[in-house]
Amino acid sequence: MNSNSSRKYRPDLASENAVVEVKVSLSAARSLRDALVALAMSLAEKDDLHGYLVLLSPRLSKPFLDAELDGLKAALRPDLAKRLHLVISEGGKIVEGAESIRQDDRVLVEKGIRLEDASRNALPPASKQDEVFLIMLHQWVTGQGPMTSKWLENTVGCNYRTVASAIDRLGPAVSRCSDRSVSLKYFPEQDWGRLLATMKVRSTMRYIDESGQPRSPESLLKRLQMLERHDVGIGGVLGAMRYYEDLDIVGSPRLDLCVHCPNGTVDTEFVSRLDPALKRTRDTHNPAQLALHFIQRKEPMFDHKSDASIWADPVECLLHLYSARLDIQARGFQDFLATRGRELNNSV
Amino acid sequence: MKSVIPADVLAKIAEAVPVGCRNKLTVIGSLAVSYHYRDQLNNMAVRTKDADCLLSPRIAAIDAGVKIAEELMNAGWEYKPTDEHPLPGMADTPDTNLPMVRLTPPGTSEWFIELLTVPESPDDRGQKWARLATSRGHFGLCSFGFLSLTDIDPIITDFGIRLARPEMMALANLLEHPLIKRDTMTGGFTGRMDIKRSNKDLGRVLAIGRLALGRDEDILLEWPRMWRNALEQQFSSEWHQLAGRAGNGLHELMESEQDLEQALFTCANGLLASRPPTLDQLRIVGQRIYADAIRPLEALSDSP
Repeated sequence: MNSNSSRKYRPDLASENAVVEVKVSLSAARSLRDALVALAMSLAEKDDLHGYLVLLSPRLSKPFLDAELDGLKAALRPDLAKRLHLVISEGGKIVEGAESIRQDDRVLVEKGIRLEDASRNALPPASKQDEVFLIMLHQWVTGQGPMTSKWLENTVGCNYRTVASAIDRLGPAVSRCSDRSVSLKYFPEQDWGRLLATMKVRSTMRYIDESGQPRSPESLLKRLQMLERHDVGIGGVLGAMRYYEDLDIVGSPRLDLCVHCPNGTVDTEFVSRLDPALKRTRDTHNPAQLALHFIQRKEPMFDHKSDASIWADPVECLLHLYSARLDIQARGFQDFLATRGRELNNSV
Repeated sequence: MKSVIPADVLAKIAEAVPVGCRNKLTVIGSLAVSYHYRDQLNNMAVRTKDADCLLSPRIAAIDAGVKIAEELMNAGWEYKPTDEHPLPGMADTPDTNLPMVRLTPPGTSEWFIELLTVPESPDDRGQKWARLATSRGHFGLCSFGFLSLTDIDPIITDFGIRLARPEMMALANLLEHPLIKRDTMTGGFTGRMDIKRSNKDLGRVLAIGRLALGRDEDILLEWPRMWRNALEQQFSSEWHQLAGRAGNGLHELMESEQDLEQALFTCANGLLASRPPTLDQLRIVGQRIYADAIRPLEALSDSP
């Protein structure tokens, strides 16, 4: 079979004498074998080509990786086996296989490590006290009743001091039950205003269209659902309208997504799969097509529906409306949530 | 290259082609694309010179070709000479030396009709010629490559003649160019002699993608299923293989700034002349086609 009649293998990086394939958090033996075999096949096409499989933070054990590599090499022609290399990187540094990298190929392999890291972003730490407030507000607007400090600690992923400080800061808005559980008494406008003013609780990345043919939020959403991501919830206008049909807006100006990243880092590679035309912008005056909001607390409070869609919670959606400067709509949704919270909590 | 109004050209062809042959004629190429997306092009004139018409089924193509050529020439359509073929062929002209049926309508030389046919079998990928013996000379009816794909489920126009589906033309072009070949356009393209045929044909794929997206932002998601069905229908024994390599040429085009620039030039001086995209915008079209259509097709090719 010649190269025209078969599907062409495309490594992540290539130079005249080397090809590099990069895999992040590899956890399946089959994926490992596929990657090694694809590399080996490409080496068969050129006698002096060296192939490097670069594994970034693999979830397979070192002995297993060694055994797989040795097993495959035993089945290969000796000259191919010599040119096939496995490199393991953790935290941007090579921890295994550095000695096998030829001097001429080092730059390419290191580029491979950075290639994947470029799409991973370390997020600024979120205010855990604000997260406690948001969770309490969520429980109130959805009529969930009082909650224990322990539950708040586990939901946010913080210690009891943080919870205690957050509750103290809310002062008279908090009701304490005899069993030491707590709940909000009302929608605390003042604290909410403070949170909005600082907005330290959320990191947001905004993306604009570069194609001249922007995709609608609904189209982006369709592609998100095809990705079957369990860590991404739909928020913003679309999310708010799910809770409040009377939201005073026609259509959604952008897609707001919540990405759950409790470890404080996020991989934004999936954005290009929603649309290759999306490019990150820091210009807040430029209307965005997509906004990603990162939830760093332990529990995202997503609502998983039977149709496989995943939705952000109503308080999160309210934050998105304010973030999008849809102040009138946000105020309307806030009033709705406050009224509903009163009704639900009075009936408890 | 002259500008023509696609609807006018189609009307003229439909009017001239014998009624009994209309259902055997499918308009392909830039004329078909520009008529199909006339809403996107604001019914503006497009730059094209040839109205490529595919005759099918193959078994009826020669008969239909003779009838159409005779009827058109009787109605005053004239043979368009080329340097290689100043006159129609003779009975003793070898098949491979016969000129194509290229006829200009009465009163204009701005465009011409060109007759083609589908290959006899799925294995016929090279250029093949069939003789059309008319009272005004002998012509060749050419078939090649993946033209049979453009004959799948054509769109019937109000004029009674058929249009090839744009997505099928795109697939035929993708398969025709699994890599960027070196050969350039015979006679150049809008003053440039360096334009590679692969870049022009793959640029057509990008132009179709851009126009299709202008009408329906999610239309590309429909293409893999349609492409798979078409490949299964036309190339049942090797459709997996064809599906697996459909994106190779486009991928190569996107990787080469120089080739992509040539593709942009053909688009900006052809189908997308009214609203030419930038180089980056054209690249994004390619990336979208890749993500929505080609990659899923490749995945389908892995299934039984």
